[in-house]
Amino acid sequence: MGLAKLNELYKTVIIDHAQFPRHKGELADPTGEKRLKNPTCGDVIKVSVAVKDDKINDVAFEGSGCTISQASASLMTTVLIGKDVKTARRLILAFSKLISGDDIDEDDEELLGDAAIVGTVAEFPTRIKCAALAWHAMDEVLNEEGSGADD
Amino acid sequence: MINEVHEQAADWKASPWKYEAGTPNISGAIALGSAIDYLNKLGMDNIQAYEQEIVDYTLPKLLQIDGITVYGPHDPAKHTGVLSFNLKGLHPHDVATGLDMDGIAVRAGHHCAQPLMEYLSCEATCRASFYFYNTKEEADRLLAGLNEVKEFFANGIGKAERTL
Repeated sequence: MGLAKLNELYKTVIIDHAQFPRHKGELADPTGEKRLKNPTCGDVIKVSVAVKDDKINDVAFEGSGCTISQASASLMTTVLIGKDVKTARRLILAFSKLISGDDIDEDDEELLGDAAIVGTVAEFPTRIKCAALAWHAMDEVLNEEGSGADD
Repeated sequence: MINEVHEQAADWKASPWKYEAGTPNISGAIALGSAIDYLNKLGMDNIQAYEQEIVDYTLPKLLQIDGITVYGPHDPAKHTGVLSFNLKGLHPHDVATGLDMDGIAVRAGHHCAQPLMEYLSCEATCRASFYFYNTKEEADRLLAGLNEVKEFFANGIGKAERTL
């Protein structure tokens, strides 16, 4: 049965994060926010961060979408909270490579932890954008954080 | 298209010819002609009647699936072969990926019709499009596929326990 391959994409961790998203909601005092829409499917994700002294103290997301986009956003929050901005940027890049089917550094894969499981999306080309949305939003937030950090 | 080109000067033909540089889409025009000949040979009435037969067969069965929302008229006589639907609790992209694994191609998304999605109060839908080259057997596969997808996500999600 062709559906058996679905288990590769919809692993327990992914379904769990989609059903019980972590850090879903708004931050009381965000230092940065970004709302991104996937124009081809209508998924919307808003990512909020609280960054102080180059450290990501908190991340939250809001929005609606498919199992993959919700799970990917939830997993992202668990990976990036507590990281410094430089490491976060590196991990965002590593995640982007991973879901495109490229190999990544072992240390980065370990830091991505459960989020690395989303890498199987590389075998489902139509779903890569779903997985990427929250991470793209996060990347843009951190870019804006960077530009205003010295004021 | 130009008339004359010099090192420091050029002049063009009058509109609309000035915008028609390069090779026109000749193969496209020939292919369109062939497509029209093909449809005329089949007969548009025959195509419409066959499409209606598929809708008469598929739509009532589709409506019987528990938890389905079918958009547009539920009377097959008023529906074309384009069937848009959602399964309760499932995102259309997840449904489409499931069907894809079964070799069934549907479109999922907002179909370049975001205002319509707003009007229907949904973010996106699945859309199966039947035409004269589709069969009732394929309709059966779609119906079976939808039930399998429902089962997959019901069981998968039902088993999930919070791990944090």
